[in-house]
Amino acid sequence: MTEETAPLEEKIRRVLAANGFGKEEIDEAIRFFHDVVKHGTQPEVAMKNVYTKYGVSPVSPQKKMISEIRGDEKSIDLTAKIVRISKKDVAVNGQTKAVFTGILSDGSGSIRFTAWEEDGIPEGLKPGDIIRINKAYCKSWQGRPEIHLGRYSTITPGKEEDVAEGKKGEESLKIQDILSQRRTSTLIARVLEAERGDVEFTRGEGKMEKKDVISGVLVDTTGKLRFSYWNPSTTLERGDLVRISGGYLASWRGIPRLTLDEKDHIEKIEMDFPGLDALDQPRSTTLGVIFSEGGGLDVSIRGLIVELKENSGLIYRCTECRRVVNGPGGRCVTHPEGKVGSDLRVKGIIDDSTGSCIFVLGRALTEQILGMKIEECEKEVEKTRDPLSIFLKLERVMLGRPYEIRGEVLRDQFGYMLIARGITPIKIDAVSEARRLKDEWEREEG
Amino acid sequence: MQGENQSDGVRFARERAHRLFSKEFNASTITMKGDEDKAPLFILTPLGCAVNRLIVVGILADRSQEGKDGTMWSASVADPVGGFRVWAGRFNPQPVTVLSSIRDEDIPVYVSVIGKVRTYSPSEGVTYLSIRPEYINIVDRDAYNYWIIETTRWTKKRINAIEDALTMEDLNVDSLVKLGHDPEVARGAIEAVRRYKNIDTSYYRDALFDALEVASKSEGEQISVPKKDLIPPPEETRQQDEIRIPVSPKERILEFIRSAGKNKTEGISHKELREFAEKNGISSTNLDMMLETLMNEGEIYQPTGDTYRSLS
Repeated sequence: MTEETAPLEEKIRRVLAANGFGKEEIDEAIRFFHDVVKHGTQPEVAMKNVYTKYGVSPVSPQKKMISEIRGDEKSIDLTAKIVRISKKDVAVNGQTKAVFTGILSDGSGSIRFTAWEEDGIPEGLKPGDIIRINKAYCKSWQGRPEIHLGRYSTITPGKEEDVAEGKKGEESLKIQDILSQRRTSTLIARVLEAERGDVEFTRGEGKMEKKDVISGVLVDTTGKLRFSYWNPSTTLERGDLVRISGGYLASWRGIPRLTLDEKDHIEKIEMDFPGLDALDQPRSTTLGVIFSEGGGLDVSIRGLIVELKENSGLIYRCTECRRVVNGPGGRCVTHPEGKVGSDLRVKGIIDDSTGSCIFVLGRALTEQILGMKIEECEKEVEKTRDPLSIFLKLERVMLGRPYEIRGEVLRDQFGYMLIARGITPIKIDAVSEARRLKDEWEREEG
Repeated sequence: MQGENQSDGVRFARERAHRLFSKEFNASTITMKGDEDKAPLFILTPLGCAVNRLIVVGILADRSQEGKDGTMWSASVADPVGGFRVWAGRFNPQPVTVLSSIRDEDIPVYVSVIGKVRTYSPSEGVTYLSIRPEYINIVDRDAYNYWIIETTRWTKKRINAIEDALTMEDLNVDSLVKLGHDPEVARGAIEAVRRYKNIDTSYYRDALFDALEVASKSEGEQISVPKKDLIPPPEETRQQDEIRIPVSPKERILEFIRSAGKNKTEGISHKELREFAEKNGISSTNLDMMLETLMNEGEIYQPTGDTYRSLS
């Protein structure tokens, strides 16, 4: 008996001591432990009972910065700022329980968190609060680490200085790192696009709130990143070089967005950095890579067109709301008195063998592919009396042929869509390419 | 085993189209199919490519109507190292339209074929693979060359992974990935080495160089059709329940109004037409435009406000 329980007893002493319990309390706990075992409980289970009774977790917590969290830690301590927090009621086994979710950030990055009300999360937490968290555990969801506050966790008010600590020795990340690791840090980038405006919010009971925001795109040598900068304390213009610390990553339809506010550090700097002309290039990549990142801003894909949707070609839209209507004589449901105008588009599927994705071409690109203006297309449909004649022409031109499409890849619940801003047929010098590969592979074989 | 690679969170990921030469395709003897009724059919090639959909750009060497009333089409499409059997029927309206529009004097001609794997057994113990086409298009030498170059690159990746896998004592994906192979290619290679005996990579290596030889010839040379005997033979046709397939969507609508409305004086309702259109991949917008056109052409009329009949 004692042989079996001795190591466990030792463990209980260690854990309780680490959690700040005194000798008397620990002795009391050991007596309780032996009591439980005497009643026929397995020693391991009895040990857990002790931990539950004293509200401790057997794993000693590690102090972490957000950027260090990998998603499998059993117990961590950290001090961070609440960026976002919201309360939601969910049904668990027929019972309604309140759960808090949100985003925490420190000088090193940002992370999602979840906490159940019944586990004793303090009331009245709001964005901007600094909190000290002890004994939180981490999980990974869709490859992204998250923090969970369980019954062993405690939350106490923290100090601003403790958060700032994380900034020392922090490495700066490139945009590509931010996208693939899904975390933020210090970033040096140029402003490619910036637009300032007011966004109106409804805050319960019809109360309107106005917020000043600069939104746009940042660029560095590795890629592009959308940003929103709320209540900006500095102006940002196209071409500015900035150093940004803080912020957090949110996503809209799969496109990550760096969200910043007045508490984050954004400073304009001057240093040797490529100009916009050199930086404003699409990222040549594959659909497989884009899908693993969840979407892509200004990417370039080379693939074969494997399908054209029948709603490609000459279409008709309500001129009020742009909704597609039923032919030239069709009527819009919302604007039955409105006018109907023609338009051109292509919807199809591009496939690069690492994946396939719907793409959409607007009127100008469709005209470019066809080598025909929309007026000529209308005449053609009139002449052939076949509403599908433009679609069939597009099919003959594009199907099974290689194209390079540049644009934005967005994601919704049905999959991915590439909104094209440019398309070019791929022309390769097959003769020299084939010879080059042959030489290379012959050399490889020796 | 496919599809999962593409998508965290996105359901119904579409099967991508694989690039592979006919030698690798036709040598496949392992098929994989899920338990569900409509689970897609995959083949596992000896180089570890799990194929459900593929795209081939090749030379249409011949095509013929099959079946009692010519509703099926069989075609052989040659690539630099052999060829594919393509087999289209009533559920493949676009390919049938294209194949029937090609005249004898146009052949040989470059085509792209997008389609799915299909197996057939002309006699017991003999199984061939063919492509059930979703789309066929007439293309040119540039498209052919592009496909050859792309396909050699993918084939080379698979050969490299298989050769490394063949030397491994303890077969596992991680070790292959550590050697620099793409995770998906590595998974396929492990599966192939487990399930195929005696994979001879030199057979496919030779194919690679043959293909590059074809692509490195200068433009303007005549289309030569290689090695027809390497193309699987046509399928025995089944004689039952095949009907003539009208070629254009407009004709299909007209044919439907004619046949289904033969004994109905009130005609075919718009609802029935919509159902037919949906089954045939015709959008309701286009259906209405075609009905309008058919009425203007005097082919059909409306006995009541909601029904259609043919005049002939």
